[in-house]
Amino acid sequence: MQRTITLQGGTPYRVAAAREEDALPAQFRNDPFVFVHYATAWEYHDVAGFLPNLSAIVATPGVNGVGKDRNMARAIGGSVAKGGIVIATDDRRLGLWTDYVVSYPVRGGGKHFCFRGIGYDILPGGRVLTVDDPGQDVEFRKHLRDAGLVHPLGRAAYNVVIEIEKRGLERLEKRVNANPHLTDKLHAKRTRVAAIEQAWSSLTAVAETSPSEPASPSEPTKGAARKLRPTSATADLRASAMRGVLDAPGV
Amino acid sequence: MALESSYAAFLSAGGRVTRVLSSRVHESLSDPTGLRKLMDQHEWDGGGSATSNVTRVTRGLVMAAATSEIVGGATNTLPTTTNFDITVARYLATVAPTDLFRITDGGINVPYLVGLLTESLDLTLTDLLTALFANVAGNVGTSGNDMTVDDFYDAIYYLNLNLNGNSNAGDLAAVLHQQQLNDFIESIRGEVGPMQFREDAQGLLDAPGVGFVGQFAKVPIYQSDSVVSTGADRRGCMFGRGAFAYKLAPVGAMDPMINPADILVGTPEMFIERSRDSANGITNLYVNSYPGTAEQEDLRAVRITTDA
Repeated sequence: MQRTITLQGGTPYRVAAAREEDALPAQFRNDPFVFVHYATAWEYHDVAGFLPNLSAIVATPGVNGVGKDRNMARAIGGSVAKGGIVIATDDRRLGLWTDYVVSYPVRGGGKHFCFRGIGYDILPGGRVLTVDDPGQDVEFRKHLRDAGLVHPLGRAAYNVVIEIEKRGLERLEKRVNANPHLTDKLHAKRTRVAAIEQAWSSLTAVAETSPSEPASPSEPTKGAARKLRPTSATADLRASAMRGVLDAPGV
Repeated sequence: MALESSYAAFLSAGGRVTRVLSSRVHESLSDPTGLRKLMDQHEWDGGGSATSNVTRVTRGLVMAAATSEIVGGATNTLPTTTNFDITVARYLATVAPTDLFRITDGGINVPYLVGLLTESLDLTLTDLLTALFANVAGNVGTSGNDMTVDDFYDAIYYLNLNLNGNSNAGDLAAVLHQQQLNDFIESIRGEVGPMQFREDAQGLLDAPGVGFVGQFAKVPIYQSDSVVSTGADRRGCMFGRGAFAYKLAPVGAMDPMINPADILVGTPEMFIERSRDSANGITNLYVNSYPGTAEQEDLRAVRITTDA
């Protein structure tokens, strides 16, 4: 026999209730990483000046020798072998930037690892927006530069930076005649190239007036590029001259 | 009027159901791009370790002029060698259909689940390839700035300086995140001069989607959402043949560890195995594979770091 069922009150309906989970979607799951710097990886920032451009070693098992336990020793060894300086997250010289890699929980387990300056907004519909503060990234890299945690900016790295910028300037100069709307862009590029050259001049001027030679040349600073000192070729040429080379046309 | 044979009447009385499962399944957006073909494959060549050590050697020995006709004066040449490791690691995925799931088969059934497991290998290898990009030493592009045609050419110039050929289409390849590709296309839109008349530039303006999207300056371009971001930037890559390699440990012959009757799909690279939980009416399906990837030669690749 059926009986009457009375439903009263009910649960307040909240659209977002099912989505209120403080975790990122599963596709955000990734692996931890550490930043690495290579000698020629520099770029110029209009406000902060020269900044290191950072690579990263990602602790993904099976990648570059990382084992199933996410031990990064082999990957770090390979990186150092090709000239990288690994920036450990617990390096005391990082100061306020210690633990620069942070993680967020991911639905269904696992974590999303990213740089500390990155945040995420999860909209009620589930869409995720990245909230990044470019200023933090710039400040971080500026600190790495000033604290000596990366390769020093050398002439080779500067040449890479300025060559790319000048190439861009040259392209704009070629295009501006037929495209007058590019004039402002050209002026901005010229200003930028001049600023980069000026910044480099200032840096090298400081280097020339300060005692830069290490006390013991046989023990270079960790991570510093090895400087090859030129040797006079006169002796070689004289030896060749004995065989008549210097007398040859064009020498 | 009364006692019509209406849908509503049957719905309330039990002759109709609220919804039936459509035989058609809509698959939501995802990136199915597999990029293993862009890597060299190394054969599994020995037991004893999960790590293989590969020797790199530089060719190009030239002769030196003799100091005189009768005196040799030659010094021995030691070929320049270095090495790198490829370590394989276990990767797996599992689904656990229950008996009732099988009995009530709809558009998504057990073979569909097996299909998901099967395609997971290539997607995993794609992730393992793009994870290598972040540690490439050479870099073009600027943090926080959109990708441009200039960045693309800077990458080609960098690779050319390091002797990577681009004589034939496919000698180089570029893998970019969708945001990088959007910015790149936007940059192409503003190109003037010879570039605007190029067929490949015009082709890319069609704003293609995931996977292979076309080629530009004879460089095939692939879009992949697996391209790594460690922060606000994306780290795509342009590279030549031989920049990256992968290895898959052979799992084809697991006898006597697995009952052959429990292997649903068996290839030398992966196998899908069935494990029955009779007490709970569950059949676990596992896919196992043992891949490893490595950067073979840094100078064959250049990172493209641009705004995400």
